[in-house]
Amino acid sequence: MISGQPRTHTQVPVNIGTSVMGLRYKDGIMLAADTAVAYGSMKKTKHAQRMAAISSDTAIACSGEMSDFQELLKIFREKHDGDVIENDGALFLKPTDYFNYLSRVQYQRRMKGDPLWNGSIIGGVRQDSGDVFLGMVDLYGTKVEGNFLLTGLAAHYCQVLMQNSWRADLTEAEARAIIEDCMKVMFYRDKKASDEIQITTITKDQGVKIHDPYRIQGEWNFQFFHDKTNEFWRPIRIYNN
Amino acid sequence: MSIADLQNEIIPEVNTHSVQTDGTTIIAVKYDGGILLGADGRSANNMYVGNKVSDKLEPIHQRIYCQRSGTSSHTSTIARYVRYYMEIQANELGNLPPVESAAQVMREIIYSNKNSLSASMICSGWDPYKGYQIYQVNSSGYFEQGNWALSGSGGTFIWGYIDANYRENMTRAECKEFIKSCIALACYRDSSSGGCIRLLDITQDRVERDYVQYDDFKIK
Repeated sequence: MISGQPRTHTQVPVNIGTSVMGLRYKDGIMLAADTAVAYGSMKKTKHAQRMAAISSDTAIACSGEMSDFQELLKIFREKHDGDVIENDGALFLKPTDYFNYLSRVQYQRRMKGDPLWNGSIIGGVRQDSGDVFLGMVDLYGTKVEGNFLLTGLAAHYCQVLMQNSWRADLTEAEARAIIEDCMKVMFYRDKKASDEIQITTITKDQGVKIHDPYRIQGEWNFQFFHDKTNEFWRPIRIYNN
Repeated sequence: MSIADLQNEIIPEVNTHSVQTDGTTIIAVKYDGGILLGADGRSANNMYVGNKVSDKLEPIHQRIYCQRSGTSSHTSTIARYVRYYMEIQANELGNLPPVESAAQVMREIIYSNKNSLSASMICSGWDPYKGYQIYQVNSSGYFEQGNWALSGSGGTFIWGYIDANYRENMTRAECKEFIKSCIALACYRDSSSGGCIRLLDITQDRVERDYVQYDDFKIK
């Protein structure tokens, strides 16, 4: 756009999806994200899907630049199709393979100074062995694995919430409750967050299941919100002279 | 790069360079039985209006149209490329090309060149495979599909109006009045939109244009 200047690729993220969360529970993996995409400071898209299945047993959820997320899905699809052709239809790709591939792609782009501006969480449950995997890749290509992972602003607000509540034997309902708690906090404190969230569960029996989005309920009606107003804290003084 | 240049990269509709731009309000809405496209008629650079009755509704194929907002030279070139590829695909298929195809070509061009282009476009139409569809690609290459689409600098002024007044499955007449109000309100407040309203009705059977002159939509 600016003639005479060298091409500068490192972008500023514009279409921003906010934090995503992932955690292991008794039956497998749960990924969660809200359904909002912001355009600068405007809440532009209300019902976006920020997670996707990249194979029958692996799913990815992304925060950051959403056009790069769409490009990532394309990259995964092309990788998947290319590998199927190479292997004559036999598929050997495990969740860890997608995780490593993503990390390499991100690192290569980072070295070119042209990153895919995303914080991604990849979860998968192998349908043969039942092995569960949960990992996170940032825009540099850093790999992190764990029992619960958070990207974006949630990494600052919800780390303690997760640490205090997480157990290895969480039921689906308990895992959902933790996610909703974290999402509630993010809706309170993150400008770009929305109160409509979407959850993906990955289990051995059912593979990747992306559930319908639903609205979470915050607590906005504490009595002290009504009572403790400015008049309470600093009443107008009336002098009787 | 100056602050102005950076701002231009982030929000291209606010253009600080002297290039011909489609200031613009463009909108596409699905109604019961077709799709109505609407656009204003102003092409401006900085303060001067280059073309006061410009046509931002570009035919891509028989039943596929795109609407342009952003830098005129960029958007009309992108539209020409999309039209070229769709002509080839239609020839290969021996049938009407898919609307999604046109939209994805648009996305590929805009996304891959997002740092050099300033183009936010809507691609909509009818095909025998999926019926009436509306797709939108913004200047960063983010691809969306929906029952209605809005873009351009004038669009910012009418999000609230649309949130309050849009209903699904309007009749053709209701949809036409809705779009006319939307664009009229946008033109009322956006200096980069105005002049005239161009409407286009796409149905399975035919495509029909309409021109609404300033006197018929000016507010107050």
